Amino acid sequence: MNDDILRETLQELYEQAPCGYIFTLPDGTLTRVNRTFLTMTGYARDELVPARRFQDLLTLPGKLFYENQYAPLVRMQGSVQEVAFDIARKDGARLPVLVNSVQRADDDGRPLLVASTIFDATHRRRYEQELLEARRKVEQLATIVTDAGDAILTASPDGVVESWNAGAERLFGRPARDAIGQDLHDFFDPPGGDDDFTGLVAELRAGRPLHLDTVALRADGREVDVSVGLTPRMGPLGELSDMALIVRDVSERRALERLRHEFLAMASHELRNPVAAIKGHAQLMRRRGSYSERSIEAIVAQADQLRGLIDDLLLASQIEADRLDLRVAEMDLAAEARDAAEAARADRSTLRVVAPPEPVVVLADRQRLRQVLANLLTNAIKYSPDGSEVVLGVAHVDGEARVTVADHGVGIRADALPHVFDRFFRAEGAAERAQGLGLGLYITRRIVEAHGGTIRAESELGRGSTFTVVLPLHLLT
Amino acid sequence: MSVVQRNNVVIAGEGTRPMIFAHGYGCDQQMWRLVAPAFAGTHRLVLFDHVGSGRSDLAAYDRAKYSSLQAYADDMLEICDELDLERAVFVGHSVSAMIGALAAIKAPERFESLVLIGPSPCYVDQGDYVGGFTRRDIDELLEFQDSNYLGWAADLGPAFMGNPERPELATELTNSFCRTDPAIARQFAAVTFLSDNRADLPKVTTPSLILQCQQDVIAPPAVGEYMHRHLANSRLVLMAATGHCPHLSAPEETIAAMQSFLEA
Repeated sequence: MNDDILRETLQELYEQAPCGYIFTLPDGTLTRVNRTFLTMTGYARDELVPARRFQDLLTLPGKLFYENQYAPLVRMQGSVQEVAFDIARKDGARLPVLVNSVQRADDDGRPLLVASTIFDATHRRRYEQELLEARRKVEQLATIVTDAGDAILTASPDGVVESWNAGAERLFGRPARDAIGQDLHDFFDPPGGDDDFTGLVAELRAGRPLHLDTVALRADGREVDVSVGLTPRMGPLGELSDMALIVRDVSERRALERLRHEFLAMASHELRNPVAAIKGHAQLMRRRGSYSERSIEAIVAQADQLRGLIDDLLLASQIEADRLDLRVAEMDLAAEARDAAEAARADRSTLRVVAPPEPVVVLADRQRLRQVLANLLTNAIKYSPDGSEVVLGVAHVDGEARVTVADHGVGIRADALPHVFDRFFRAEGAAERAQGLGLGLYITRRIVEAHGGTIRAESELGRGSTFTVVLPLHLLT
Repeated sequence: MSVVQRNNVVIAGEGTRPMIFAHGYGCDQQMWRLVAPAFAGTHRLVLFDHVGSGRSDLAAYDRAKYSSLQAYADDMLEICDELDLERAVFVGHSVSAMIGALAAIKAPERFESLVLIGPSPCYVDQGDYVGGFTRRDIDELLEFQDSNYLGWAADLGPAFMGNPERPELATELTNSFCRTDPAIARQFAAVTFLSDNRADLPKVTTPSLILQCQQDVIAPPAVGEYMHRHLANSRLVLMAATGHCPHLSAPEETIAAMQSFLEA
C-alpha cells in the first residue's frame, strides 16, 4: 500500500471519526477540527478555525468550569478525562458532550497545544439524570417506609422475612435483626389456624393483592388483632418474586365494634321493656273492656320512659357526629341549680342546695344544662339509700364556676371509676336493676365539654360519690 | 488539630517577609506551582488549601460556618496567628482576592500589600453594577455542578508536566488536584458566586495590585475597573494574558507584574 493512500485513508478516518477530534492552542484557540465536530456543533470550518476558542462554544456554566477547573487541570496535570460540558450549537440547541484532553509541551515544559476528543453524551446525560431522579425517589420512599406508623415488611414467596420497618418492630415487639430471615408464619396466630392462610399464596401468585383480618403474635406472647394488606410483586416471567405486607393494629377498632354490638343488643332489650309494658296494659284494658286510670297512668309513664330512652339515643348519635347544636345564653347557675333541685325532689332522700346569693353566670344552652343537672341528681338519688342526703353545690372559684353533686350512696368501684364517663358504661351491682342505656353520664360529659368545661367523679365504695362540673365563668361587663 | 494541618499549610523559601498564596474556587494550592518559586529566594512562602479543597481536613468543613466568605478570611487569619505572620504580601486569586481583602480589613497589621488576581466583589449584575452574570446564570452554574459530579467519576491520573527544577515545591501530584467533595464544592460555588462584598472595598487600606486579564469571563475588565475605583491605594494592570488564570497560562507575565509592584 503506498504512503499517499495510507495518509489519505488516515485523514478520512480522522475526519469522520465517531467523535470530534480537535486541536487548540493552550489559550483555547481552535487550530484544527474534524468533520464530526463540525456536524456536532453545526458550524462551518471557517467559522471556527482560526478565530474561535473552544470555550466560546460552551454554555456559560461550562465557560466558568473551563476557567476554574478544566484549563488549570490540563495545564497542571497534562490531561483530563471525561469532563462534561454543554456545547451551544450554532442553531442554539444544547449538545451535552464528554471531553478528554491531552496537552503537548515543548522541552522546557511550555504548553504547545491541546488535543481533545469530544463525545456526544446525550444518552449518557439522560441516564445520569434518570439515575439521580431514581435515587431521589428511592430515598424519598425509604423515608416514608421508615417513618410510617404502620408496620411494613416484605417477604419471599415462601414467607421468609426480607425487610422489617420500625413500625413492624413496634407492632410485633421484635427488632429487625430478630425478624429478618425468619418465617412469617411464626408471627401470626390466626383464629382459624393455618387454614386461614391456605389459598392466600395461590391468589398472590396470580398477582392479586389481598386483604385479611387476623391475629399477630408479639415476641412477648401477646396477641394483637390486625388487618393485613398483602401486595404481590411479580418478576419478569410473571412469577411471584416477593410480597409486601402492611399490618395495622385494629384492636381498638375491634374492641369498639364489640362494644357497639353489645350495646345494640342491650338497647333493643331496654327499648322493648317499656313497649311490652304499654302493650300489656292496653291488652288488659281490652280484655276487661273498661277504662283503668291506673293502666292509663302506667302507659303514659312507660311511654315517657321510652321517649327518654330514644331521646338519649338520638342525642348520643348527634354528639358522635359532632352535630350537637348549642344555643347559649347567659345563665345563673345558682338559680338553675335551685330549679333543678325542685324538679328532682324525691321523698326518699333529702336534697340540699348550697349556692351563693349572688349570681354565678355562665354561657350555656339552657336545655342541655338542665339535662346535665337532672342526670347528676337522678343518679345521686337513685344510688342513695333511703334517708341519706344529696348535696347540690354551686360556687365560683378562681374564675371558674363549679357545680358539685355529692351523695352518700353505694359508691363506684375503683376500677370502674375511670370509665364512668365512657359510652355504654353501666354500673354493676346497683341496688336495683339499672335502667337506661348507660348513656347518661357519657352524654353529660360531652355536653359539659362542648361548653368548654370539665367533669370528674370521686367515689368510695360504700361511702358515696361526688361529681364535679367546672365551667368557665362568664364575666359580666 | 492545628490550623497548619487543617489547611494543609506548606512553608518554603529562604526569605523573611511572608508571602501568602490563597487559591481560588475550583482547585487548590498546586495552582501556584508556576509562580510561587520565583519568590522563594526573597520571601517566606506560605501556601494553603481552603477547608474543603485540596488536602485540607474535610472533617473540619461545616456547612453553617462556611456559608460566608468571612469564615475563609477568619481561617486565614488563624494561619497568620499560628505562624506569627506580620506585614505579609497576600496573593489571592479569584474569590480568594476578596477573602484576602476581608482579612486585611479585620487585621490590617498582618498585611503589607495585596496582589489580587482576577478579583470580583460581586458576580451578579445589580442595578448599574456589571458583575458579568445574571442570577439565572448562577442558578444554571449550580445545576451544572451536579451533573459534572458524575462526569468526574473517571480517574484522573496522568503524568505531571510542570516545573522539575523547583523540588521544594514539587509535591507529589495527587488525584485530589481540583477534586473536592461535590457537596462542599457546590456550597463553595454558591457562596462564591452569590457573594456581594462591594461595600467592603472602601474599608481596605492596604495597598493593592489588581491583575486584570483580557477576555476573562469570570472577572471581566469592567469589574477590574470597578475594584480599582473603590479600592484606595490600588494599581490596576491590564495583562496581555487571556482567561481567568494568568498564574497558570502566563506565569512569566504574572511574575513580572508582581515583581514590578513589590519593588515599587
